[in-house]
Order: sequence, then C-alpha cells, then structure tokens
Amino acid sequence: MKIISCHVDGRYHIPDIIRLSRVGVVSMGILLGSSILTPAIALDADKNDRLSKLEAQLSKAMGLILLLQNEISVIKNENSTGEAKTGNLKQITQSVQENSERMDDMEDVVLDLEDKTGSRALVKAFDAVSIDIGGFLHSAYTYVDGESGSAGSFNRQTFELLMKAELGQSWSAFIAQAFIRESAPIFQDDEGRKDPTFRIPGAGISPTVIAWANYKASDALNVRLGRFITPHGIVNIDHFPASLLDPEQPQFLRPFGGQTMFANFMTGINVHGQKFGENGTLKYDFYLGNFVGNPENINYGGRLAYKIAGTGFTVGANVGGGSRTNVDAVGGASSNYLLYGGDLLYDKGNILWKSEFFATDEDLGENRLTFYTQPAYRINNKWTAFYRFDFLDDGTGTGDKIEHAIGLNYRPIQSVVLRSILTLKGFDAVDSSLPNGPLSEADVRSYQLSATFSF
Amino acid sequence: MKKNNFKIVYTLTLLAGLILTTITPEAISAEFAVVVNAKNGTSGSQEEIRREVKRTFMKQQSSWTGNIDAFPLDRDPSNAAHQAFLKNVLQMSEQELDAHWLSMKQQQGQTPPRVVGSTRILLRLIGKKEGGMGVVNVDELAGAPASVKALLQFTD
Repeated sequence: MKIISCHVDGRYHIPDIIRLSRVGVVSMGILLGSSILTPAIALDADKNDRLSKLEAQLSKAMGLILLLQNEISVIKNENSTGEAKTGNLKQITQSVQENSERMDDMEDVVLDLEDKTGSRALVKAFDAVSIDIGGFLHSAYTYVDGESGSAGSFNRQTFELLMKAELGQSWSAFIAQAFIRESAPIFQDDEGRKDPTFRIPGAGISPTVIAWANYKASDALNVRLGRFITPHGIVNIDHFPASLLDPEQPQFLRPFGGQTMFANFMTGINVHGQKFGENGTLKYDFYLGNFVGNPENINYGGRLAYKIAGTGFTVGANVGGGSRTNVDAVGGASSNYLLYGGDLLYDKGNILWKSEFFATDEDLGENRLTFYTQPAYRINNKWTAFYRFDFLDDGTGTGDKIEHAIGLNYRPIQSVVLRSILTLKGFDAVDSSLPNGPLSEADVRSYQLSATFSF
Repeated sequence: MKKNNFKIVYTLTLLAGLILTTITPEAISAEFAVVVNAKNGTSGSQEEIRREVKRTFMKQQSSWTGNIDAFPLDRDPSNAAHQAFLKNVLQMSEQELDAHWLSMKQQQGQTPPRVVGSTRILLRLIGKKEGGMGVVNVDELAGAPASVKALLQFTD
C-alpha cells in the first residue's frame, strides 16, 4: 500500500506533507498504544525494565514528531518566501523595463546631439545666454526692355547674415549684416525713361541693415535701441526677400535704404508692444531717430495696427514726420514733411492681399502720394500667384509712375523660393510748362527671375 | 419568404452602416493635452486658453498670465500629438506654420520651439521650467510628474 505520493517534480507539496504527518502521528499512536498495553499484562519483575524501555521509546517517538513538525514548518516557510519572491520579481521586471525605456530615450537624445556636433568644437558666446544664427542668399537676373534699347544682367547678389542673441532675461539683440553685390536698372537717356542699363555702384556694399538691442518689460512694452526697420505699412516691415512675393518691393520703397516716402530704416529708439484681447490684437510702434542720409534732422512716427481675431484682417494707421534731403526736388535743401497713411492686410486660406497708401505734405517741393494693392492666390503649398498695381508720384515733377507686376512664386521647400515676375512700367508725360518738362510718355517691360535661399 | 429575408438583411445592413458611420470617428479619435507647469495660472474659457496657447507657441506672446516667460516646446512633425495640435489648436497647415517661422526668424530672430522627441523628457522639462508648455497624448499623462498639469484637452 502506497502511503504518500510524489508529484512529478519530485517535491512534496503542503497537502502531501500534512497527510504524511497525520499518518505518522496515527502510526505513532498505534505504536504507543500497543507499547503501553503490553507492560500491563507482563510480570512485575520486568515492570521497571519495560517501563524504562517504554519511556525511551516514547521519548524517541516524541523526538520524531517534533522533527516532522520542524520539517513541515521549514517547507511551509520556503513556499511563502517563494510567493514573495515572485511578487518582487514582477516589480523588478517592471522597473528594468521602465529604465530600459528611459535609457532608449537618453540614447536617442545623445545620438541626436552626436549627429549634430560629433567631434566638432562647439561655439560659445562670450556672454549671451544664447545665440541663433541664420541668413539668406538672394540672386536675380533682370532683363529690361525699353523704348530705345534693352539690357539684361545678373544684377542682384545678396548675402545677409542674421543673428539674435539673448543677453539675459528681458534683454536681447538682433543684427542683420548684408554683403551686397548688385546693380540697379536705370535709364541712361536724357529723359531717364527709355534706354535702360544697369548702374554699377562699385565693388559692392556691406551695410549693417539692422542692429538693435531690445528691452522687454512685458509684451505690452518693449524698448528698442539702434538701427531698425521703420515700422510703417506691411511690406517694409516684412522687408526680407524670403518673405516677399516680389523682392523688388513697391516703388515707394525703392531705392533700398532710401527715403522716397519715409526712410526705410531708422537709427534711434523704437517703443513697441502689443495687447491681446478677446476680439483681436492691438499692436503699436513709435519711433524717433535719424535717417542715415540726413543725420542732422530727427524723424518721428508710428503705426497702430489691429488684427481682428479669426477674420484674417489687419488694419493699420501710420503717421510720421521730420525732415528730408531731396536733391532733385529742392536743390539739396531740407524739406520738412508730414506723412500719413493706411494699410490693410487680408491673410486667410488661399488669399493673401496687401494694400497700402501713403501721402506726404511737404513744405518744399511737391507733395507725394503712393498706393498699391497686391492680391495673391496660394494655388497650393508650393505655388503662389500674385498681381500688383502700384502708383507713385514721388514729388520730383517727373510725372506719375504706374507699375503692373504679375508673378509666380514656387517653393520646392520652405527655405527656397524661386520667382518669375513680369513688370510693365508706365511713365506719364510731363508738359513743357512744368519745371521738369517736357518729358515724353514711355513704357518699359521688365522680366526678372530670382531665387532666395534661407538658412 | 425570400422577400422578407431580403428586407431583413437589407435593413440590418443599413443599420450597421449607420452605426459604423456614427461610431467610427468617435472610436478612432485620440485625445491630446496641452501640458504646462503646475504653477501656470492661466485660466479662462476653452477658446481663450486655445488662443493664448496658440500665441505663446507661435512666440507672438512671450509671457503667460502673471508675466512668466513662456517656454514652448514642440514635438517631431511626424508625431500624432504635433499634427493634432497643428490642426486643432493652431488651426494651420504645416506650410503656413513654416512661413510664420521664416518671417519670425528673419524679422526678429525668433526661432521655432525646440523639438523634444521623448514624452518623458518633455514632461520633465515642463516640470522644471515655470513657463514650459508641450503637447502629449492623454494616455502618456499616466505617471506624469506632479510638477505638470493639463491646461487644455482636445480631440483629433
């Protein structure tokens, strides 16, 4: 007869052990019982001897029981420790898994850094908290077809380096340093409107286009000091070729760095900020400074713009004034002027429509007037078509100039823009009774291919 | 009999189609959260918060309510959280956003928010920077540190 059974793993489990101990105790009881009954019917002489033997056997049996009990306790303890160990193991596995994931994250970051820097030396700023550097290259080929001749040239090559430094909390600086090799199309005939050529200004220029330091008290109050883009209108603020559909800009912003209506750049102080509301954002700019071409006179002005939330509309009002030197109009004398103007931007979905007008009241020479409207249609993510009607009376007494520009922009990637633009320019005739007359009417066609690469 | 069977099958098919078209978009939609530092005190209606988050991310607004310097962080362009954020919070296309950054870089030297790949690192960064902000899948918020909180939740 089999008393105990053994599991296939060769171990005794708790129910088996309990069964085993029960059997042991019963066996011992039978053994004891038989041992105790036997001496009762034996002879007296052997009584003491037998009693001693029985006591010894009993003591042995007790020892055996105790031994079994101990073994059972040990086996029970072993099982409960195993269960605890299984619980710990789960926790440990989870922890290792989590740490492995963290390690993977860290390795990704390190690999990314390694890919960017490798064994190269890192550039460190002297004192700035951070420095960001970028810039762009701009190239253009222009062909001008006039009434008495034509000319073509790879006339624009600009490299501009842009740098922004965070000097500390609330303090920053921004610099745009340009290296320009370009020649502007001009007309070499007596009337200055029929026979085009390109003016070569020399080896090139490298103007510091922008250089300002800014203190931010809050979004509503910033103070900027240095050379900045005069904050009037839309295109002058957009300024950089990469952001423009036509890098030649409307007529009133030509020549680059000039002061046809107002100075494109100003050196001085600019207080600006914006306030966010439920219905839109109010932005203001006020400035006081000098135009580089007329450094002894202060110019002032500002713009107030409101962006209407969710509509795509931004409307701006501009006021300015000061003094300017206009050799053509007033023989080199300074003219005090008052400028006022408005601008309207619609930028939503496929439509991007910019319009501006400016007028001046001059105390010497003629008053000036300019306006343009430039609707553009985003055909898709890469292609944009635009048209611009552009009027300028620059106060020089040489007649109004009207331009129709039509162009196509293509962005194969966001940082590259390729353009093709056709411009038809008309010069109004000037009567012989006027100081600069007579001047004949003239039409000019201009074709330009240009590319801007930002980095 | 055959006609009745056809009617039953036809009706059931229509019902199944109706149920599927009604339920599927909800069933596959994912929930995302704009996460900020726990100390961020920005409050308001969902729409007000969305507009403030948008301005802050696009660096048009440089401080949170309470004049805390904003520190927005972005996800990889291929990350579902980034795509959902672009569509539902910024309400822009990737190209429009790129155009925005091009003009911000060239006019003011402002660069786009730093891209953080790992959610764990993103949450830790937000927890460390008082003006920190980022976007995560709501599921990823389980086990997030106590130093961050969800400011805005949206469904894609």
